[in-house]
Amino acid sequence: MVDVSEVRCSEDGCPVPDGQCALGHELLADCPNVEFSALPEPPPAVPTHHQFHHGFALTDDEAFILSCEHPPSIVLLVGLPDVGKTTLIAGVHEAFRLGPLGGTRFAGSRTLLGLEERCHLSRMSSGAASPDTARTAVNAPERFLHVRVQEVGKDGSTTDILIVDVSGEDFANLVNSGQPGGLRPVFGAATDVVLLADAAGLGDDIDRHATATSLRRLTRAVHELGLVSGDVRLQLVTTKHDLVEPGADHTFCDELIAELTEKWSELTPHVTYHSTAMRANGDWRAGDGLAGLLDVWRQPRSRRHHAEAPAVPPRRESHRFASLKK
Amino acid sequence: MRILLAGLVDAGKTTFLAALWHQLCDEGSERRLRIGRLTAEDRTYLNEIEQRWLRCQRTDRTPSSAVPEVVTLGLVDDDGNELEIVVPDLAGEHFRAAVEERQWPSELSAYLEADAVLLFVHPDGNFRSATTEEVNELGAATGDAPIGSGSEPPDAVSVPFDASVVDDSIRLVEIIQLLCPIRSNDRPGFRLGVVVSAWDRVPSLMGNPRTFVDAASPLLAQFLESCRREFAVSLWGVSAQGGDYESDVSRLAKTPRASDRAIVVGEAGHQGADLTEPLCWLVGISDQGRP
Repeated sequence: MVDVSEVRCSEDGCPVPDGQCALGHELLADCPNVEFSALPEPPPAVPTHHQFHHGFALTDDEAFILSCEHPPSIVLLVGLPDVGKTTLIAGVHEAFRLGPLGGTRFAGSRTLLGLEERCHLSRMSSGAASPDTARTAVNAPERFLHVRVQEVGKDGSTTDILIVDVSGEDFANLVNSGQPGGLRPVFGAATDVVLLADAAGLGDDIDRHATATSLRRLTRAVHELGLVSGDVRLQLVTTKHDLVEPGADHTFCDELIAELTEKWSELTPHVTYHSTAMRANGDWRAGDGLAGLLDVWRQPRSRRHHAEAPAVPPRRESHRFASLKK
Repeated sequence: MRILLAGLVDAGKTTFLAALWHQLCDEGSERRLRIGRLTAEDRTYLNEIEQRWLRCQRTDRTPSSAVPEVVTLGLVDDDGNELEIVVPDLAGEHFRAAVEERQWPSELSAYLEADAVLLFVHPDGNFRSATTEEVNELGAATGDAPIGSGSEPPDAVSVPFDASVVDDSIRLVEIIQLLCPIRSNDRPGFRLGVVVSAWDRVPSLMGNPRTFVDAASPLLAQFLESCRREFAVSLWGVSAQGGDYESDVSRLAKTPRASDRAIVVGEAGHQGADLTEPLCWLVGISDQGRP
């Protein structure tokens, strides 16, 4: 059905639209001489609703605006596909849902729905058969997740944290092409760079060399392209400790972390190491290691040169593997 | 002074308003606030919901499509000071839409700058979405097969995410974020009261509303604690009806004075029946001591 405002007939003497069709058509639409003109566009409707911000991950522009309001810590998660970058973000959110993380409490988020979206596939409501994390789209423009945190006790100061959720494929492209592409700006903006390493891969006899080589290549690419400056805090994070096979050899992982710590320390003096697990297994509890990361991220930008979390020698973490051997 | 009663659907906002109206007009009872001079305003709505409350009947769900009932109350405190508060009785649907559709009716935009918000939290809410892992662990303990172990493939198509699946903890935090000032300078003097409604349904071992929120929704509890840095926050346990609509009707009906049915519990656990106490705190007449 087409709304019309005007009906005209090109046949001389035809009384349409005021009378019947001169050619005898009952339906004017059947007459080849009749023309219909459409109604003019209606004026734009006056909005009847106030629109709130969308609540999902922020674009670069939106993140920039928020940064102007409250200077945040900007945390860039760096890692190849499936290392657990998005799972780490979801883990922080899930941990806060259970209570404060060490000395840090949840104090709000502009991207609550975005955080919930990243937890969705691990929830019953998703209908997923087993817990999972959605893959981050390559070059997704909405890539900043926001969490405001507050130090428990003391002066209760708050810190805004923007976590950059970049696809692992973007980092794979960086390694493969040697071109930073769209990654250079986020490296430039980051106050904290988190390099993630898959502990389960490093603890597996078959996967460990491939996993280690990928990490070294990624480290080399970041170094050679000059993507990390000296005032950036760098956190080396091993993920998936809950998935390390019992009896796995921890030496390989420890030595690699020591090597990477040394390598990264050439770029920045602010290197710390954190081992994490997102699910409970053996000696590991869900969310282990996150409180230490939050403690670092919570440090205000202006104080970060003076308020470093002490770098933990990687070998001190080896007991985690040792305990799984028992 | 504009006070916004906020909360999800069936959180107890209208029942509170009905019982409050009765207490304010009940000249024989001792309350911190009472109704002042009667003005020429239409009280049909208040009287109707009061009648249902007096009969121990559920108040009808406030329709979201109708023009919201905005109640203006001229009140007098113990010292004879007069104040006027404006309270709209908004449907929970408006707050659902704020979270899920990110919309708020333009005609209600003035309440986005309310001087105080009283947020209602029903204790039977779903405060935490269960994870698949938790359900599987529970199943393992009870001998049930894990999810995904049946005939369906392990990568069975899941339900896409949308905002309607989030639980009440997320909704309540989001409502506070949308309605309350982010920084104290935005709205000086702003106060947020949180009412855990249907308090008669909360196990007595919870003691006070703060303990309840800590246990039921750690995310909300943390967020409220962080808000105290920017504006005053206080929690109340309130049962405006005083009992269950099914099993307690007989007992409630026999209460000599209907005003005394209500239960009001402060953060420190002290109990009374004065529904004007949260109101007094919201308008700054009284301070509730922290436990």
